[in-house]
Amino acid sequence: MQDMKNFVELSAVLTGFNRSVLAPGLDPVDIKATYIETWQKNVDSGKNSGLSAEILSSFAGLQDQSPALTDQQIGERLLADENGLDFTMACRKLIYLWYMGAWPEVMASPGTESGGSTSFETLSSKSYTAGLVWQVMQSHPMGDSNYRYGYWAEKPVALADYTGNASDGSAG
Amino acid sequence: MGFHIGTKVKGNPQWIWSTFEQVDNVPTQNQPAEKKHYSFYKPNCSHCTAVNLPPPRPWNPATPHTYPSQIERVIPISPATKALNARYQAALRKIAVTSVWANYQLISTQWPTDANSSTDPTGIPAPTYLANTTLESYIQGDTRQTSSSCIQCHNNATMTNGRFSDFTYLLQRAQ
Repeated sequence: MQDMKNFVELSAVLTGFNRSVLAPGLDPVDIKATYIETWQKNVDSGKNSGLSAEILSSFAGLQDQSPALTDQQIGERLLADENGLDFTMACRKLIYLWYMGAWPEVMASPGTESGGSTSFETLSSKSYTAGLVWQVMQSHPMGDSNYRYGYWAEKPVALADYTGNASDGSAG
Repeated sequence: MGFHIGTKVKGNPQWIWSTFEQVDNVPTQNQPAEKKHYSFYKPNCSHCTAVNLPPPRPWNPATPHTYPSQIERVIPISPATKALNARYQAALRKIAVTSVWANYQLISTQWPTDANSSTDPTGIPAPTYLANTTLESYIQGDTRQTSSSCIQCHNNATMTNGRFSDFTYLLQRAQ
């Protein structure tokens, strides 16, 4: 229970979406349950046993600091190089998971222009449609729309409505 | 055999949708049978359609018989709904021993969890999917835009001019 609460808080900080969007009080979709399981399983695999717990614990520590840190400051500290590549990569992969509904594999290719490449596996049709990327686009997944006939003739609602951050201020 | 009750409620523009079935309709998939006989399912039936599949097409009008349906419930009725059914069936039998309504059960009620969502006109329904095995026999399940969902389906209802018709299909052909 505490893990899930921390996980949602951590996800909100890393994705920039409001907690109420990622984990509504009434949550019939409940994609967070799939994501925490996927994240913990993959992050803790191999030599990194316990890494997900370490990240959640570090995050909780940052949240409890006094004076309080902003979400931006907490995010920057989590993604700082000094935490080590495995730690920061696990955080970055969590962002990818929420936005794409997919788990990424990053393959380093030293010496190439990009330095590596990323492949991914979409978890399910549910995670595909739940991807935050569609919300940021103020749009809908291909082949899946809850908008009503003729919606394309109207301006999308503000981005802040999608992210749940009323103070976002960005308009559609 | 089965019916829906759609209720237009102030504050819930997506309506609230309940569906009911006769208790002997079908068994639940992957669960032990609770009844000896079902109206739309027969164990080891050799001449029935495959489970939850419609009869082969095209229909041949010269065929002397129709294929018996072979239907199972895909999404089980929740324990809370089962308890609710038992309570109301008992109450009905108390006031009218022979009441046929005591032989019906609620399957579930779909309602919007965020009725005023500005980003999702369906209001994020709960449960996400809801099917009556006699009315949506072949579209049960949990595949988005395919499996039965009262609110998601009726969210597409329009009038003859293509404008949204407030969740009713009755105006689709109105002149």
